Amino acid sequence: MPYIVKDSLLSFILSVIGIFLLGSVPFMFMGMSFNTEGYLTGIEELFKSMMNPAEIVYYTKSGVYPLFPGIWDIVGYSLTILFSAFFIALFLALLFSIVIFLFPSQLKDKIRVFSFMFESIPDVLIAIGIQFFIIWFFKKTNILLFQIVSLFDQKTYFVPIFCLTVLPTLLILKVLLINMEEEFNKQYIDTAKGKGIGRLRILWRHVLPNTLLSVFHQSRNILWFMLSNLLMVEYLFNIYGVTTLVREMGSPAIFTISILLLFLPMFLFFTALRILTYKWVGEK
Amino acid sequence: MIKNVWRNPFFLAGFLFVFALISSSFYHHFVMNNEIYENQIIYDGITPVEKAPFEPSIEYWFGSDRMGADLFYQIISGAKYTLGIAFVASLLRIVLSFLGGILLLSAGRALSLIKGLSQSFYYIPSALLIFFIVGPVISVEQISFWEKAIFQVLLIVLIAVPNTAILMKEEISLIQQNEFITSAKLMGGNKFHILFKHIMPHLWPKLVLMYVQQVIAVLLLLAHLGILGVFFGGTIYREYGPEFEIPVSVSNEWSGLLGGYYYQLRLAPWLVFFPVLSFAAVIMAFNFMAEGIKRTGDQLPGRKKMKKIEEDSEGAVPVESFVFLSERKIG
Repeated sequence: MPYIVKDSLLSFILSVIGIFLLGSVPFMFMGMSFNTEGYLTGIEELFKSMMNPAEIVYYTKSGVYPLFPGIWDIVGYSLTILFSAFFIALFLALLFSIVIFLFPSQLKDKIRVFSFMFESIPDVLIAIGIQFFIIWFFKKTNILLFQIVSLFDQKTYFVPIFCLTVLPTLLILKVLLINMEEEFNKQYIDTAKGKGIGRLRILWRHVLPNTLLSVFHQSRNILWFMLSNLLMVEYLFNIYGVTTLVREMGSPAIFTISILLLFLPMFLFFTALRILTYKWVGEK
Repeated sequence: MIKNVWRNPFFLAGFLFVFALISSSFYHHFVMNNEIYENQIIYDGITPVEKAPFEPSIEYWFGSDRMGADLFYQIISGAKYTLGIAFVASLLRIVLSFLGGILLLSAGRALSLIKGLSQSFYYIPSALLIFFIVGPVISVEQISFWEKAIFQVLLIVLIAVPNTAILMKEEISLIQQNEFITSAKLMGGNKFHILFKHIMPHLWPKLVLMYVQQVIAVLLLLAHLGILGVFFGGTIYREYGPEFEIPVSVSNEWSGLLGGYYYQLRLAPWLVFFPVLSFAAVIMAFNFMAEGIKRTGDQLPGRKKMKKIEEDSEGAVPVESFVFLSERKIG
């Protein structure tokens, strides 16, 4: 346990420094030429402006606003979409994996063989596909299923969360299917079967918890992948979230603050998962 | 082992698709002189029937844009550039990460520092990071198109190097744990000898797999950058009607097509849909290749043999090999 706390603290500090360094990269380029000196003064400048967060402002079409407290709302909105999509994806993937488990084994094998194709669908395709479908449906029936484009003060939740859920569900499902297969070939499953425990009960009590661990291991990659998705969804559905703020302002201070605010809850989540797995299986 | 990849149906399917796409792109370039059929109005005799943009039909497979240019040929023509960028950028990524990985091998205590710093990449969407860095540079007018393009490709390369280098280092250390490395060291092989004679043969298949995976990542990144309007193919403004000028991609490079047509999403959805679909198809093809490589990697010769033996021992007993005693014809 102390090891985890120490290690997490170290990686927290280093990640924050890393984000700082990335945030001041624009100072490095004067036009096209590298400028190391400019980079060093840029870091200093960035640090100074971060010390006075009250002075940072952001613009929208309706005017100029101070970054705080407006940013809480913006970051909160993005994080709500991101994490609710992640948990819904996790839940759906678990559900599907159980359903697939109940299929006859030939079909199951086929799904597993082709599960690598799940990764091939680009997030842009899904977001645009959903938009087309809603527009097409609206043209045919004159029923607007969902508000597609969110206005500044009006927040849509359903469509962006739905868009963001599809691919992670497939990704987690793939991880689950592959690891479930591995888990089922282990000897303790034979013992359980020998004791006459039912297949579903083995799945629920023994296999699923162990395969969930592998999802936890992958959670950082999955959430990173979802961040890219979030960028696309916010752009395509005209949502004013973190990535839109960073994209439209383009100022190093806003970039660094926004990414740090995005980083903090994600990091806490990963650390919580780490401690949880440690308590659970004693794994560092 | 890596030669066996050509016998894998998954790899072959993906490879043939990409190969066919690139060769038709070059065919279009050299034999058909890179011409794209443009026609703004369809006539029936002399009466105009329809005005561009045309919807997808038998004549226009993927539809056309407002200039009446056939989207299908635009995509074919742009394929060589998009795939070319992806190939070159991922090759550079792998080469730099390989060198970085070797450097990291002797990094010692600095390794955990570098690992921690490069973790920060996991909290920033890569397209956003590139957009953030490229944005101010791209708006400067004095910089020529080629300089901008090279700058963008370099950024695309550099952004992935830290984490890939760490991955590479871990792969190399995994191979280094083998006993034959220890014996090679004991026999007096120096670092480079061990690296090239003993580690590289085991690393090659992994490098090929990583390369294909990087191509997929770069293609996805290009699609994102295209949607965000960071052009690759260069932009020119063409007159549309007497008053308007609309941005057009010069080289028909796919992310350029996407960025150029994105604003016509509501008017002519197919103009956005088909470029995205082509990205999806190519990414799918590369995923097939990656899967093929993974599978041949798993199929070590020893394991294959064992499977055969198992099959033999489990083989069903042929019916004619035994007869029930009661049915036996005696005499």
